[in-house]
Amino acid sequence: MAVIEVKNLTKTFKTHRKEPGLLGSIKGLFWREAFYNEAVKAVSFSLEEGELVGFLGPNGAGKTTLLKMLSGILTPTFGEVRVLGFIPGERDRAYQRQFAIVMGQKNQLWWDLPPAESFALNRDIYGVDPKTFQSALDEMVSLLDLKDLLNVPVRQLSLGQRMKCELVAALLHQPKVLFLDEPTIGLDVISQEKIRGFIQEYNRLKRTTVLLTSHYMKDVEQLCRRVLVINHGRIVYDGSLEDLSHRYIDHKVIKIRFASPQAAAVLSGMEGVVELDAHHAVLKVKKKEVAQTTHRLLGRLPIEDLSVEEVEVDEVIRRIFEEQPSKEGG
Amino acid sequence: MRKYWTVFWVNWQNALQYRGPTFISLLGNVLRVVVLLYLWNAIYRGEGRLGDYSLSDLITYYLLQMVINSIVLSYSSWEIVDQIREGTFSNFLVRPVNYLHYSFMINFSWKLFEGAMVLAAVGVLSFFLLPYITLPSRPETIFFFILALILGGFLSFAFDFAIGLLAFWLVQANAFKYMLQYIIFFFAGALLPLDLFPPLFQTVAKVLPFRYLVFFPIQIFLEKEPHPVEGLLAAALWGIGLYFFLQFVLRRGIARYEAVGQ
Repeated sequence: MAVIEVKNLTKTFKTHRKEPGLLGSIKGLFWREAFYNEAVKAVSFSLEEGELVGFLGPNGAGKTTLLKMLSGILTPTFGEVRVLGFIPGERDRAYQRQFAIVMGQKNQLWWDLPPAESFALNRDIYGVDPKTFQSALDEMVSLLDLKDLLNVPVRQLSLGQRMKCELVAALLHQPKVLFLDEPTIGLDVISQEKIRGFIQEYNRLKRTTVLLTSHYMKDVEQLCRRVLVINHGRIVYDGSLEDLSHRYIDHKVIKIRFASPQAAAVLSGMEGVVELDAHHAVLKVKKKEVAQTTHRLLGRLPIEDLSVEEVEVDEVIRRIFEEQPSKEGG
Repeated sequence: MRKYWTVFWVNWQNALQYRGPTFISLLGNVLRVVVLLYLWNAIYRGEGRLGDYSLSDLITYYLLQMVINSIVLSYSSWEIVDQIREGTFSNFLVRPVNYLHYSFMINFSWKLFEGAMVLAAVGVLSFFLLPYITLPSRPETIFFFILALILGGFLSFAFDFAIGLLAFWLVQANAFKYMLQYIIFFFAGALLPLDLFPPLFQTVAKVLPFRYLVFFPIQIFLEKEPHPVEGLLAAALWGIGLYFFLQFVLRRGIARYEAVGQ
């Protein structure tokens, strides 16, 4: 049975346009032009137990709205959601004890108190018995290397340390399903790495089903075998990252460093050259022509170094987003 | 139930972090009472007199008002408005916790903390003011007074919680918040004893439940309240009614929050 089941899920926000200035405000009291914004449009997908799936999409694509509907913070306008058999919008206590959501920009830790206090509060809010609590805490503290920080007020922690503690606070009741909304936002590279490693390890150890959103490709590349690409409220791709590049990209990139500057002249004007100067060149070549082209280049030019690379996933994603222009317009 | 006691204790720790600022704002209140003391002293020495109040009645009124300010009057709406506006309210929607009960415990723990501090301050002040203070003559007065403080605390929280919930519907809830809070303070008797107002005001104030926050407990202490038991019962009924009203409004607010998002 699928842990998360989403069918035809749609969320429409009703908003009002306000004319600028004081007069506009007064006018707005009596008459406002309503307009509707479909943040999520007829989205369907399902997740099996233990999957770690990434949501990819630009700002405003509907990722957060989806996560909020899965956690019962927002009610769907249309369609069906079931998580662990529950309808999230009913906010059943039994459901709440089995999932957690971490929003990178909405903290739940008490600012002026050490994280240990927030942890104790969550322990009792979720009714976790002290023994289970202690062993869960010890495990995560050692995984995340937090031992010395438990008794330091949150306000004195760095952003990365705080994020780690947010994760611990959310996982103390050992949820079966975890939603992560931008868990690495604003963090330095090392902290991102740590958090990623932790999520991966935790998912492997506990078989927790994880759905995470991020704009950092790295997060998704390292963590998720399966991605859902969402753009303008629609899922435009559901599958593995490798297939994504197979499907959308038909070329590879050849990078060359010349042994002598004369080589550059030969390449100028040649088809597929994207970058060229006296010392190096970058070529885009159709996949099936890679072997032939490489052979030819090596045979004809004084080349010091040559490498063949896949197109970066970032670019693949950018392609997809550019391919799907908004048809609704505002 | 246990979880709400943990809420209480965690916020108690939190309040301890603010003992400095709390102490300073308390000092400001003490200063205000001392100034009033001089003012009333001068007025009464000039043969002035305010309604039914002797000089020591008035001094006692303002001293108790200071105590009530700390022990009874709630300002939960501050945090509630922020949480709703900034969206951290979502943290309460996803956890197995009732927001009304949670906020109540936070408020309760603040009030007890401030109460402890203000009692210390009043203890020191009363060394100087003892000759001016009207003390109750009947033992049951103290019992009624404490009951009135507890009920006043409940009601004050209920009104302030309701004000905080406005943030579900109004983007600029803070302007309304201040206005409503002043109206409540005014009709509670926090500025001036209610029986010093013109008769029309007094009639209105009597119908409104706000007098249970400040005026009613002080009148009990001064033994000027003709119907303490009826008053306490009425306050309790208001409390029960407000509890169900707030749960209802909270549900409506959440329904709106779910639709609009934050």
